[in-house]
Amino acid sequence: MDRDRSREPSDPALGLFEEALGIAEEDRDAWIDAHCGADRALATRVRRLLARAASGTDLPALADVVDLAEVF
Amino acid sequence: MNVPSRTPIERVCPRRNKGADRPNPGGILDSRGDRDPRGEALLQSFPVDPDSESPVTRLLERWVEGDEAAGDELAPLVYEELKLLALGHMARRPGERTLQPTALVNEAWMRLMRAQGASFQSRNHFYALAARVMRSVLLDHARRKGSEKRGGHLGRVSVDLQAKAPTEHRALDILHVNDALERLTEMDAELGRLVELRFFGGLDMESAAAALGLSKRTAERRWTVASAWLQEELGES
Repeated sequence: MDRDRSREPSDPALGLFEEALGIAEEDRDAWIDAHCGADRALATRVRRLLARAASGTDLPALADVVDLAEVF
Repeated sequence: MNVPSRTPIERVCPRRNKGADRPNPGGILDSRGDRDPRGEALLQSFPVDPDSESPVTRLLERWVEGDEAAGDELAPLVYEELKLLALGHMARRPGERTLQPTALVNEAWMRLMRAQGASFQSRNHFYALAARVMRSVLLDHARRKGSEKRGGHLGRVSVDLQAKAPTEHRALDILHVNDALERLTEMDAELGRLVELRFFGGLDMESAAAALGLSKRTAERRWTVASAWLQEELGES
C-alpha cells in the first residue's frame, strides 16, 4: 500500500526516486523494474514521483499563500 | 532557556501579549513604523565587545554545531526582529498584503549585523535560524486559530497551492506541510533543512545551497526530490 509506506519512518521510494532522476529517461522503466523487483506498489510510487517532478509543478512560495503580516 | 513545560514553539518563540498581534500594538512603532523599544532592548542585550567576535556570531556558530540552547537564546531576538519588521511593513504599506519572507529575513539580518557586528560569514547560519523561527511562528498561528475555532476546520492556515495547470488547484495546509516535512526530515535531514530554508525562510536556491554547503546544482536536484515528495504527500492528505 503506497499510502502506508509513506507514513513509515522510511520511504524506500524517496531514495529510488532520487537515483532514478539521474538515469536517462529512456532507461528509467527498465531501471525501476530492476530495482523494485516484484514490488509493484513501490515501482508505481517511484514513477508517480518522477511524473510529478517532470510536470514542473513546485511548492508555492510562502508569501504567495500566507499573509505573513497577519501572522505576525 | 529550555523550559520543559513549554511546547517547542513556545520555546523558540515565546508567547506574545494578547493584543500585540495587530499592527502597531500600543503605539510601539513610530510614524515610519520602524521603532520598537523591545526590539532595541533585545538587540542591546547582546553587548558587542569590539575586541572579540560578536556574541550573535558565536551563538549562531554554536547553534549550527548542534547546541540547541544557543538557538533558544537567539530565537527571541530573531522573532522580535521579524515581528518588528512585519509590523513596520504594515504601518508603511497598510493596503499591501504580500509580505515576502525573504525581505523580512534579509532586513533582520542587516539590522543584526549593523547593531551587533555579526560576521558576514554567519549570515547563512542566521538564515537557517530565521527560517526555523518563521516555521514556528506559522505553526503557532495555525494552532491558535485552531483552538479559537474549536472543532471547526481545525483552524488550519489553508492556502492555495498554485500548480501550473489550473486543474491542479488545491489547498495547502501549514500543519500538513509541517507533518510531512517532519517525516521527510526523519528520512533525510538535509532535504528537511532545504525545505525549511526555501519554503519557510523564503531563500532563493543559491542562498539555500550556500547555507547547506551544497553546490547550486545539487541543491536544485535535491529540491526537485523534496518538492515532488511533499506534493505527493500533501496531495494524498
